[in-house]
Amino acid sequence: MAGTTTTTMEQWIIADRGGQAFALPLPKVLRVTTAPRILEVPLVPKGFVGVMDFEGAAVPVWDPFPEAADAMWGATVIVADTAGGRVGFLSDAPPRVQPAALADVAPADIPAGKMWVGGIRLGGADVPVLDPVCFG
Amino acid sequence: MPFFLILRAAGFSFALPGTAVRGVLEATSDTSLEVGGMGSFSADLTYLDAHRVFRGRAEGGRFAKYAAVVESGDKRVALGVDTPGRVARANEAQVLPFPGLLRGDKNRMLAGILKVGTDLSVLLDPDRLADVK
Repeated sequence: MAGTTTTTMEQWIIADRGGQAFALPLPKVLRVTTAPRILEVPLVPKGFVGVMDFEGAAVPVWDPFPEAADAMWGATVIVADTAGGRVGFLSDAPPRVQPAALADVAPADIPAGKMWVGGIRLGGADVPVLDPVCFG
Repeated sequence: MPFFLILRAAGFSFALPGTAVRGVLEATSDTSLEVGGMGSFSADLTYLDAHRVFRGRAEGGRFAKYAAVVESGDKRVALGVDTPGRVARANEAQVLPFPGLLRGDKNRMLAGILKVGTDLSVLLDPDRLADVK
C-alpha cells in the first residue's frame, strides 16, 4: 500500500546504569546474572571494571556509563557475545524485557562509540541501543 | 608441591607463582621500605610501589606494610602488598586466559586470572613484573 511505513517491533533488554537507561537486543543476550563476583583488574581499557567467571572463562565486565555511578560490586551483569568475545554489561538492577521499534533518536541522546547503534522510544524517553556485535 | 601465593596490593587481589616468591617481608621501623616510587632495599632488590604501578603515578606514595620478594632470573623486586598473603595449591587452582579485550601495552605483567574455588585473582607474570620501570 503506497504511503505507509512498516515498523518492526523487537524485544529489548532494558537496563539502567547510574540512572541512565540503555537497551540491548534480546536475541543477542546470553544470560542475565544477578550479583556475580567481579574481580577488579588494574590497567584495563576505559570503561572496563574487571572480570567475572562465566562458564569457566574470565569474561570482561564493562560499565556503559562509568561517570554516572560508582563501581558497584554485586550489581547485575548482562552477558552477550561481541566481536571481541563475551562481555558482561553492568547494570544497577535486574533489567526488564520490553518490545519496541527502533526510532529516530537525536544523535545527542546516543553515547559516543561504535557499539551504540541507535535508540528506541519508551514512555516518551529515548533509550540508546547497544549492539554487542559492534563492541570490541 | 607447586603453589600460588595470593595477596592484596593497592586494593587488588593478585596471585604469584610460588616458585617465583622468595618471601614476604614485614615493614618495621628499621626496614627501609621506601615509599613514593621505586626505591631500593639493597643493591639488587628494587621496591615496587603497587599503587604507583597499578593505579598510576598520582596514587603512589602509600605505606605498604609488607613486601613480597619476587625473583626472575638475576632480578629481584619487592612488591609492596597490603597482606602477607595465603597459599593456594596448584592442584586446587585453575588459570583462566587473560581476556583479549583487556590486553594492552601497559598490562603485559598480567598473565591471566587464577581461579581457586569461586575466588578470582589476577595472576602476575614475575618476569614482566621484574621489568616494570
